[in-house]
Order: sequence, then structure tokens, then C-alpha cells
Amino acid sequence: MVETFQEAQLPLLACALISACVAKIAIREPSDTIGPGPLTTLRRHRPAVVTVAIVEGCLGVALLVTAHPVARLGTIVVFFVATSVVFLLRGSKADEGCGCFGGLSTTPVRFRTVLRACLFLLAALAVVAVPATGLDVIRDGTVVHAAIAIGELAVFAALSPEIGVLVARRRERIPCEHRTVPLAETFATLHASQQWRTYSPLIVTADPADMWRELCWRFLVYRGQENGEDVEIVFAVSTDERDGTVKAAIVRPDDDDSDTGPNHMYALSV
Amino acid sequence: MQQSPIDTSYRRRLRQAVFPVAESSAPEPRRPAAVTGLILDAGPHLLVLATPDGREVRQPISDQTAVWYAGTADRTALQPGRRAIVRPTPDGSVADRVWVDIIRANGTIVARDRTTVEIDEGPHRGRTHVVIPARSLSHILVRHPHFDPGYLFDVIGVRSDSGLVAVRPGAPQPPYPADHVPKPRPVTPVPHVLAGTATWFGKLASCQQAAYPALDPSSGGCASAHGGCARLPYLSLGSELLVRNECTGRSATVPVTECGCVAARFCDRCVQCGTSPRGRIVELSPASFVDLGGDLDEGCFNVTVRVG
Repeated sequence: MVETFQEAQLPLLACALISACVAKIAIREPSDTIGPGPLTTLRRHRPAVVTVAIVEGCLGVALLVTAHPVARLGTIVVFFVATSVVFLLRGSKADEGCGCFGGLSTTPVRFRTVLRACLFLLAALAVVAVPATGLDVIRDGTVVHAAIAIGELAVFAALSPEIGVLVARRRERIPCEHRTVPLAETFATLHASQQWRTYSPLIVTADPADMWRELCWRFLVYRGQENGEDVEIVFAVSTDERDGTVKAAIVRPDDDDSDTGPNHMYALSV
Repeated sequence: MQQSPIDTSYRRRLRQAVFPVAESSAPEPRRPAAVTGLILDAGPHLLVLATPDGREVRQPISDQTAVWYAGTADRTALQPGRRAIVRPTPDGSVADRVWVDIIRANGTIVARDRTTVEIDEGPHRGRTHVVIPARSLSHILVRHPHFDPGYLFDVIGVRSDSGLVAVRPGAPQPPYPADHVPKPRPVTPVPHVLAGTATWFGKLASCQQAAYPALDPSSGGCASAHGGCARLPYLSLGSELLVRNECTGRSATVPVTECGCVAARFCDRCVQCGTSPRGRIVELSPASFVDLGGDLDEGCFNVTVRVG
């Protein structure tokens, strides 16, 4: 029974580490929620946060695929450090989150956060000598393994303020029609898109000839040439926070007299 | 038909290259458009106007033609040198209504004394000097109980050499200071059809124009605009609005040519036909307002707006 309990910790720990990795990378902590103290030094530097996230992600994957002691010891170190930090944050009564799950961990550290870190540390200690890998447990696990994992997940969920923050973020998500989107974000989305890679060789001007926004789309028009013919390349870039969709079309000049060309009076230098 | 200052066909063509749309199968029946111009001559049966594009329009009038000049007026108000906007009857045979030298100003009170008020109509419209004659004062004060700097003011009047001479309030004054606009409740998903109030702005002009309160600050909108009373999706100058007067059933496509940053501060309702949702969602030029069946002296109509 003890062995079963120990084995059930492996998927749980892997899940926690990979979740922390994804959250740290995907959801930045707002800079105004990070306190000035020495406990948060790393969190103020994005490269350091990404490095920690990668380490956590690697350890999570390692727990799933290997029984090498380095992965197990590394997991213990990570959770020991995490427990120490949240314990000290709790002791300092700082009104800030732990950053454990990136921008989701903005709720001030309370007792349940410390308890969660302690339980994770105990779980990490429990798996140090388990010969199976996490994938072995998932593949060959029994109903008892599943019951233990589900029960522990429920406990950790109850101890995690991040769940409430995540739900609130979903509810408060600003619709794309109402989002204020800086031009830099639009250009970053555009330049990272497949559509840009496809059509940018045709573009002959550095700046868009016209640019405007309607609802969830910002339109950018570039002058271009295709087969020696002047064309206009229109990109529509989504303004949704999580949707990097970019659509594009090539528009050839036609004989429509009503077309007076770009609205230069609204074209912006960028 | 005059061309609006912004030709939106270019952007429409490019937009439709990316997002093809089917043409509307039921176009709005064509109605004679409102005519705006300088009165050159007025007889018992004919009103001659010089339009801003240099044409001379001869508009038949009849005993049934209603004339507004600082209130209900007779045809002696149709004096050469005054500006007028004419709404023809649906068959175009005769003038239905004529408004003479009507003008509207709304904004934040910046200074006042007993008979004049200076209002700030926003960065793109500037300041307007309003004269309040004694005969209008009580009527306006009833609707503007906070007749103090910092509060909103909306008035309809007639053009004069000394500025706008107030005739009647354009709308009841909101009870909050102009910089304390109530925040709108979040609405998700964003409705495809916006509902609220349409008002009109400015002097008599013949262009089909609209001012919209939520212009994208990165695309040439007014960056200092307030978030607004009604939560509206972002658009740009040149966007096209399909505006429908819910009181008359008339609809028309109107290009956005201005930021309606002042309209955004008014959390009022129009009660021309039922009670509209709170907030001014579009300000129309007088020509657009009249074409959609609105009465300029009434100040508003209940409206729905689609984009595109």
C-alpha cells in the first residue's frame, strides 16, 4: 500500500511541475504585483523566470520518463526552495503572491499556500526511491493509484488560490472588440505569422500604406509587386488576446473609378 | 448627391478581399435625400437653396410644410442668407419639414455667467460660446440643474453673429460631473447589433457623417477620449455604420468621420419611441439625422447600429 501511495505521487508531481512551467511562461506576473524584497529578485527578471520554468518543465517530463535519481533529487530541491520561499513570504506578511504559477499566483501567500508547498515537498521525498517512472504508473496503475491521485488532486486544488484566479480571468476576459491593442502587439503578431512569411517577399514598402481597426481585426495594407504588377497586400490581424490569427489577401488594381486609393489622411507612420 | 469627405470604398474593397461578404438581398428603398444649403429665395411655393457644392436646388414647399426657426415658425423665417435643411416628403414632391439656422452644441461647461455659457466640445470641436436669452433660461435651467463648470451641457439653438443662441435643451443634463462618467457593465459576448441613442452634432452641413465614441486610439482616433457610458467595440475613422432609426424604420450606411468623445460622456436615454438603452452610441450629421427620419429639434432617436 505504501508503495502504491509513493508511485501515485509521480504523475501528480509531474503534473504540478509542468503546469507551473506553462503558467510561468504563458501568464506573466504583472510587475506591480511583485514586491521589492530579496525573495522576489528572480521574479523581477523575465529571463530568470523563464529559466526556472524550463527547469521545472524538464523535471516534470523527467519524472514521467525516467527513474534517474537526478530527476528525483532535483524535484526535492525545487520543492524545498519553493517551500522555503513561501514560508518566508508568509512570515514577512508581504501582500504579494508567490509566483509559483506565474501570473496566476498573485493572491497574497496564506497558510494554505505554505501547506500546499509542504505537501509537495513530502510527495517529492516520497518518490525518491520509487523504481517506476511516471508513465509506468499511468500505464500500469491500478484503481487504487487513480483514487489516490484524484483525492490528492482535489486536496491540492482546494489549497490553490490559482484556481479562483484562473476562473476570474476567464470571466473577466476582455472581448477582442473592446481590447486596447498597441500597434507593437499587432506588428509582433503579424511578423510571426505564416501569412507574413508568405507575402512579405512581395512587399516593396517598409511601412503600411493604410491601417485601421474594425471590431476584432486590425487591417494593414502594404504596397507590393507580383509578376511586375502593382498590387496591394492586405493583412487582417486579430486583436484577440489569445488568438494570433492573421488573414491576408492580394488585391489587384481594377477599373473601379470609385476607388480613390489609400486614405493617406489616416495612414500612420509606424 | 454630394460625396462625403471620406471615400470608404477603398477600405471596403480591401476588407472584403479578406472577409468576403454576400451583398444584401433587400436594399433599403431609395428616398429623396435631405437638402442643405443657403437660402437664396423663398416664395409661397418654392424655396431656392445654394448647396455647398455650388448647385442651386429649387425645392417646392406647401402649406403643409413645417418650418422651425427658434421653435415652430411660419414661412417668413425662410429669409435669404439663412441656412436651411429640408426634408422632402417620401415621394419627393414637396418639402415636409424645414429647419432654419438650427445648431447644436454639447460638451462640458468651462465658464458661465447668467446669460452666457462657454462649453468645451472636445479637442476636435473646440469651444463654443452659447448665449441664453431670458425667454429660454428657465426651460434650460430646469433640464440643467447643475449649471456649473465641470458638468455637461447640451443645447439646441439658432446660429447668430454672437454665437449659438439657445432655444431649448438638447437633452436632460446627466447628474454626474463630466469626468465621473459611470462605467458600463461588461457585456459578453459583444452584441452584433448595438442599441442606444442617436443624436446629432454641429452646424448644418450636407455630408453624411457620423461621430462614434470608441475609435481605436492607435488608428487615428481621439486618444484622450473617455471610455464612455456604453461599452462599444473599437472602430476607426472611415468605418461604416449601418444605422437604423428604430422609431421610423429607416436605415442608412454612414461613415465614421469623427470621434464622439463628448457623446461618450452622456449616459442618457432617448424616449422618442420607447426607452432606449443607456448611452449615446452614435452622433450623426444633421443631414444623416434628417435622412433617417429624425427631427433636429427633438434632438435624438432610438437607434440600432451594425458595423460594416
